[in-house]
Amino acid sequence: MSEEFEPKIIAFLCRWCGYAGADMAGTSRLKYPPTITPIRVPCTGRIDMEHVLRALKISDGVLIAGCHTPGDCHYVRGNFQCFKRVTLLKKFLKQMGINPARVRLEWISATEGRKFARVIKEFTEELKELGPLRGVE
Amino acid sequence: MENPAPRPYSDAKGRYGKERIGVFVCHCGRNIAATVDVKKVVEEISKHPAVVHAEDYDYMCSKPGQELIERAIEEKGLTGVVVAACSPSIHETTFREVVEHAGLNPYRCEMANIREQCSWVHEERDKATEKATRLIKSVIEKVVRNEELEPVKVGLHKKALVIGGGIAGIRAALDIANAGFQVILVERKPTIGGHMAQLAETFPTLDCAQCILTPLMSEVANHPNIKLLTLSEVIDVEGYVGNFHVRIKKNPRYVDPDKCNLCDNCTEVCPVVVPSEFDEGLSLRKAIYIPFPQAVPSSYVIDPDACLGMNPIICGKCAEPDVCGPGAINFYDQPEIIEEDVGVIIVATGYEIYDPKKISEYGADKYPDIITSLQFERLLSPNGPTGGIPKRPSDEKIPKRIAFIHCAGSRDEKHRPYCSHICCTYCSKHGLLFKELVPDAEVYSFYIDIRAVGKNYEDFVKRAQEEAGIQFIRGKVSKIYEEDGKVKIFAVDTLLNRRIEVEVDMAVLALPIVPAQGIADLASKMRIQIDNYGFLQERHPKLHPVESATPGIFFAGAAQSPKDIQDTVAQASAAASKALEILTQDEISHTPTVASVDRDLCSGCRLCLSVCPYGAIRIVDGKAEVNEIICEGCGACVSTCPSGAISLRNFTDEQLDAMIEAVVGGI
Amino acid sequence: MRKIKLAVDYGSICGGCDVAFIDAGEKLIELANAAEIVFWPAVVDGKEEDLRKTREIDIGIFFGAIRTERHKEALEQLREKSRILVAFGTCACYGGIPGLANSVESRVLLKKGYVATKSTDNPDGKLPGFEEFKEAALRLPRLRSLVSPICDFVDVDIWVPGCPPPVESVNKLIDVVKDLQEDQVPPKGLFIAEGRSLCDFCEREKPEVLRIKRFRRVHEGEIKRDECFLKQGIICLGPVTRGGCGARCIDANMPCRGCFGPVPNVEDQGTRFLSAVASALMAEEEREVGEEELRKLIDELPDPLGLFYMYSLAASIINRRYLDLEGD
Repeated sequence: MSEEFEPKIIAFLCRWCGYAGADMAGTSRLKYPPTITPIRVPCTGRIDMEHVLRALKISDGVLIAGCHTPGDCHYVRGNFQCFKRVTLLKKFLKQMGINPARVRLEWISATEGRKFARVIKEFTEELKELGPLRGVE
Repeated sequence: MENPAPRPYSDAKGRYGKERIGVFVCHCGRNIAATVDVKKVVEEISKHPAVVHAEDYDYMCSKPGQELIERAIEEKGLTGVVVAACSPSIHETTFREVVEHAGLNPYRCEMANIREQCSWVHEERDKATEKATRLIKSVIEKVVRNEELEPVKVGLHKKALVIGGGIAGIRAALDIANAGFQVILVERKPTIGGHMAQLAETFPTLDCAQCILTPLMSEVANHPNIKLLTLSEVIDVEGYVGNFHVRIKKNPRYVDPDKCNLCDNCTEVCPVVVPSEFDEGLSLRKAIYIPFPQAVPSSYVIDPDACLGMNPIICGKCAEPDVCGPGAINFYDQPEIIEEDVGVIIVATGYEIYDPKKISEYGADKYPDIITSLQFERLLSPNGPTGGIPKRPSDEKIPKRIAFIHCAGSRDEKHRPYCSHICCTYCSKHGLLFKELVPDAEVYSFYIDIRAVGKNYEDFVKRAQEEAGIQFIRGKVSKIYEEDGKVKIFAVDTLLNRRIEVEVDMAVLALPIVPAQGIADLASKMRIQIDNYGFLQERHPKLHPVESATPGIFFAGAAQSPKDIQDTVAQASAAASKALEILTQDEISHTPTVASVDRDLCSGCRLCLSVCPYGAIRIVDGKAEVNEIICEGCGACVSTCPSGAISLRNFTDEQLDAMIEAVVGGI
Repeated sequence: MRKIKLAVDYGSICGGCDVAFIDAGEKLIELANAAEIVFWPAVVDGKEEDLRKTREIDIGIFFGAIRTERHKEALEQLREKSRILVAFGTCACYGGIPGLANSVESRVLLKKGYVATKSTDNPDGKLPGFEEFKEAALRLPRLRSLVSPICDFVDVDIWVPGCPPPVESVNKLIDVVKDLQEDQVPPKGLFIAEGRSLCDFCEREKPEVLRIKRFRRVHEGEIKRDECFLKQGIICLGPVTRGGCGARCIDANMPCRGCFGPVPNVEDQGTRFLSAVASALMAEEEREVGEEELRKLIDELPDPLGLFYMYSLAASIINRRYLDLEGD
């Protein structure tokens, strides 16, 4: 891949943890690449895998950040719904020839601004390695 | 007759209709403007087909900034507003109030976070500017599809149900009743008072437990706002906050409390004796009995399992007119189902102690002089089986050497891994009280760590160590048994790192505090959660410690976690105040961004019921229906529904898909 | 009454859709009376010439998915000439079983089909060539890179899903042809199927809480006849699949495989099912079970692609093989 490749990442951030963690990264003035564009969702359990696929189709990677398991979810078990779905989705992606690493699920609490920034940096690097997502023509 | 998949999400034709969106970009001084080219953003966003007005300002949240928005709404006839500034967690409420003031529905305003998640974290100006534009575009996609919503409102029953008549339930019931609301207090046993009534004295002040508890019990009995139901159990809870319908089974007492004059003649003639629950089996009671003299309701009760009079041919002595003058006894008393409508529920079902049989190495089930701490409380109590003189059960001798075993099953992976919270302090109390009664006694306390967390508790434990001279041995006890009238204790002293063997006359086990029996069943009836150990699971351990995840149901006392009396009472009052927060309102208001079901699409598969953490969905005529007051708007059901029949208001699939497309610049 | 001009053309077919018409029995006489069959290779003798020469057709029915360039041409020709175009059968509607081929590259497919199978005798490993055979004036139609449902290329007026569509659907379609004689035109986008999922028509007892303890396959143990398949841990696409099939598989104690395609408000049948079925896994007990155990349970499910997308991969959101990972 050429060095110019800048991956596009769509991030679904749960408003209670992932989004608040991203805010914390901002408040702490931590720097990370502008590869990610966030969408605030009420809970990771709200995210249908159709949204993830639709996002993946027009980006290079999808990040989902929610509250830590087992007990942090504001809505009791929404994080587990997301965990189960993403785990199953990754199996499907693999069958379609898509590297499952392009969909990344992270538990990031409201205090983990540092983790948020680190995840974005790591994920960006990883996707640079993988290159753009290309289908057969 | 529908159109087939796939849905044309990206069909740009006519998607914005008559929308007139205003975008307000904040500089936040230099906070945003230093990294994001605000002017460029305004220029770019002005080209958006739905945007009729875009401008920037130094501080949008300031008074002049807010006026800017209001003026634009009025002058340009805006139908929606996007404020691109800081995080919505900071100013969403502010700006929604601003647009509402200008006559727009508050849900027609959304924020794009270009500070915390853009200008503060990026350095390259052109990329940050471009990202800010995309963020705003994605929020525009949301706002044009936002419905105008009003809060959901519903009436309520201004009455509370308190389950459990221990100190927690008593305190909560009195608080609510004193505030002028009706309370139904349900207690499973024949009297209220709970475990506290069994205690001798309470730490750290050594107040007599009964002296401080019984006045509260009579207050309950006499309170015009409290309906007390003893020998009763909640069998069914339906409904939701403000509107719970509860069914309670009231078991027969066989003695009419209004007629019973406490003469005690009945117990004299009763031929049946059984161990007394109140004395933890250390004394005997009759089949007709009063649990303790100050019981509330102040009445005798028949234990139907023990009484022979249930078959009048065999017995019936107590009911003879010369025994029970007032004729209070009625063997034909029947259970009764009582139905009540209440607005809130407080669960205060308390605790039990762990079954000592399960810790066979400590021998409490085999040897009479290895007893539980609750039994020891009874031995210390002036109204206990030994009149307050601590005699050991086997030979009624006063023990001269005694050992208290802390953590007898608590903080133990094999039994209960958690700390039972009160044992360190009550073991110190037991030692102190015992030393007062038997000054020449030798007292040992085996502990793992001393956890005397609470106001003045550390001083109290020090007193036990220093004044009373109790020998604290830091070590886990491995085995206890009784031989030739002596109780032998094997342990490791972990401070001196050596094995020790102590011979005492009596050993007292501080067993784990466990939730009361039946709590799991009750919790599932109410659709509230319990944790791995069976204690009630609070909504949030820090921010909502007395609330269940189900609105309108609160917790108090040891049913939620092991607690001392202070914490229990504090929590009971906290639960009462949360309950009053609801009861004092004339209607319950709830955020309208909740799930709703399209009945035409729903197939009644019930998958949504399985994921709703609040029990907000039920099946009505074969289709799912969301209770808008209970729904918290998490959206788990929306993404689960295989028919695509459920949507989350102002967070629909269509909104999310359009936002996805916009964040990569697809629109 | 005037006779309705009717033509049937094929994409990638197995022949099942033709057979489905035979099931209509006597009703076929009504069809014969109402329609003049311009072209229908399995039914009347004729050449493609005949179709090409016909100016206008009242109703064109297309069977099969679009696999080759020739299929696409046939479809476009039929669309151009037909007043009403019918997508008949799951392949035409959603790509059907041939759509599963989109999970591999075409070159891999060809190799598998012409070289790698045990029964193939092709020692030189020759693959079909797509160059024109000038001397015979013949050319093999080129394989397209993807299998597609017909709506990817043309507007569809009537949808008749099913693999194959049941006789009730065929009868209804024949009625549509008869109505055309009286100039009654069906609404655009008519679905000869139900608007709600198969669950709505399933007689099995629905559990209050659908909790899948572990996934199991149909051959593993007994299948209870009166209990929801999903409750028994068996993958059943009923919740995401349109009703209207008469629940034939369910009655035969076999779970739904999804041949009627997604319910109206759902675009991607497989992914929607994925979200739903994952929710049911250990529902309400996730916290106790924990991530690791859940991951193990999910790993036990073989081939989610084949199970969830048996009929609709070609119409799904991610409907082609990607080149991140090595092909098979």
